[in-house]
Amino acid sequence: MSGKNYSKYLETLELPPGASLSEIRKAYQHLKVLYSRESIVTLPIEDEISAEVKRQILRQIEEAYQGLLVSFEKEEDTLENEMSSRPEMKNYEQTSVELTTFTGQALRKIRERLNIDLQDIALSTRVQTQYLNDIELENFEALPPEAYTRGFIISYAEYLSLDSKKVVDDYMSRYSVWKDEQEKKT
Amino acid sequence: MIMKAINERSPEIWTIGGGKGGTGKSFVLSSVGICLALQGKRVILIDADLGGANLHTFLGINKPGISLTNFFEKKISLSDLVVDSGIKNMGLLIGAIHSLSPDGIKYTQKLKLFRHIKQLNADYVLIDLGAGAHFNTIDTFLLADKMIVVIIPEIIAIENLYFFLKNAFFRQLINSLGSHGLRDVVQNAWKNRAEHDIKNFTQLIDYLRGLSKTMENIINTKLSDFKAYIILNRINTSQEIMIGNSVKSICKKYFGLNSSYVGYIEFDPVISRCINKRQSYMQAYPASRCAKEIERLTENLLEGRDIIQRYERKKLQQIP
Ligand SMILES: Nc1ncnc2c1ncn2[C@@H]1O[C@H](COP(=O)(O)OP(=O)(O)OP(=O)(O)O)[C@@H](O)[C@H]1O
Ligand SMILES: [Mg+2]
Repeated sequence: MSGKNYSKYLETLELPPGASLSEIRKAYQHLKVLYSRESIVTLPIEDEISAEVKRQILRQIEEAYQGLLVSFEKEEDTLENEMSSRPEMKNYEQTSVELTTFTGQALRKIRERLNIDLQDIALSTRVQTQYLNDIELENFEALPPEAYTRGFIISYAEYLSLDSKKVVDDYMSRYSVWKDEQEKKT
Repeated sequence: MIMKAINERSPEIWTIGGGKGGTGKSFVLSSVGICLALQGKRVILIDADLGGANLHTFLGINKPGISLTNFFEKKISLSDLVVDSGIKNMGLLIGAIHSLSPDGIKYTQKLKLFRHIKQLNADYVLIDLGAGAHFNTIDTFLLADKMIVVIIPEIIAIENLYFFLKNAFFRQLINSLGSHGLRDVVQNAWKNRAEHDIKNFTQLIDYLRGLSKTMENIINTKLSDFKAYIILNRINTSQEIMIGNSVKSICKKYFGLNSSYVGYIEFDPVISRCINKRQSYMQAYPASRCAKEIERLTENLLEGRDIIQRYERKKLQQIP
């Protein structure tokens, strides 16, 4: 991996040299949450740090992440022989933008292409692995009440850096159909 | 242990602090000491927690009759005050009230003690500091080649840690400014903080940096030299592991302070039971999860590296 700012970006995401794409993604998610939500780690210094400083840090994190994604894409371009065995990052951002239907199956495909385990998502989003799995299987009856399921899907989509609104709207449209049917039955 | 007139090599000094009381500093220090001793390294533990010296309890031995007091009052050499810890390769030196206690020690005595600690005949000297951020505690902390801090997943412990590290950094900065004839710059800036619109650590640092090119250089050098090693103790869930990463990130991004997150230790009720039974946990339960975690973090301390996250992740699922 090369690129002018490559090591600076890794440093911003607090990663060692040679970090994998999935590690980059995890670090990015972790830092994004850390600097945008209150937690026991940030509360003690809430009054010391200005909103502007926080915004600036978030901007740097975002820039580092996007920059690293680009260098991974470049790497994909040059290492064509590896392409078949590696997740096709080059197309990923593009496809996910173009995609409009986010079935459980589609979500799983995207996740697998990114080389991300359900456990990783569970760890970072605090949604149980079993629910994540049910989401991908569109196993609606196993999912918790609607409001929770909505929240889970948003977290899941955010973890994959997808447009969470698009994902949840599409996903819940099928969920609603199923729910209506259930209600008719009873 | 006999101190040679001239040591071939001075020991590597590790100190353990962190501000808040009861986070497990003494437990961690004694356990890390045992790990090192079991690897055949010659270790001396110094209990410098003068209010509540209790390291011996973690080793399951009686309180030694001799202490640092004898060094100051009877001029007995430090190495003669090191007692058997009950563990091979490991000695123990007990502090005492009035030796390193806040205000109880003169500056020259302190320097003498530090000089003698550096001449002890051992591979590693581990110093337990006790709670608080008094400047004597901080000065002892700064003596280290590796400065270790222990936190637990609780807001107060984390708050105290930030306070402790900021203090430690300023103390070190002031000491080194002293040698440039700039000793009072920091205090003066802080005294007149209202005038300079300084409200916190970062603003003070920025203000000092702006004073002169020399100041800027000194501060940048001191910031890049400063490094703490973070241990996260008493975690209850695997999610809490990441708190160590978060604290490390905040220290760097908000304060510019470097650190390594060397590892975590789970909560294990057996630990207090061992203390009550006057057993050393590491020896009584060498195969326990905590013992393994302590071994791993000791390795990371030796290597000066962060926990290996990829490895930790595989382990995660096993924690309830
Ligand atoms: N991982 C752990 N799981 C369960 N109990 C623990 C753990 N670590 C420490 N303890 C318990 O917490 C208590 C405090 O530990 P310890 O005395 O080492 O803290 P300390 O930081 O040295 O306190 P002080 O600031 O008073 O010196 C002890 O009773 C010990 O048994
Ligand atoms: Mg203690």
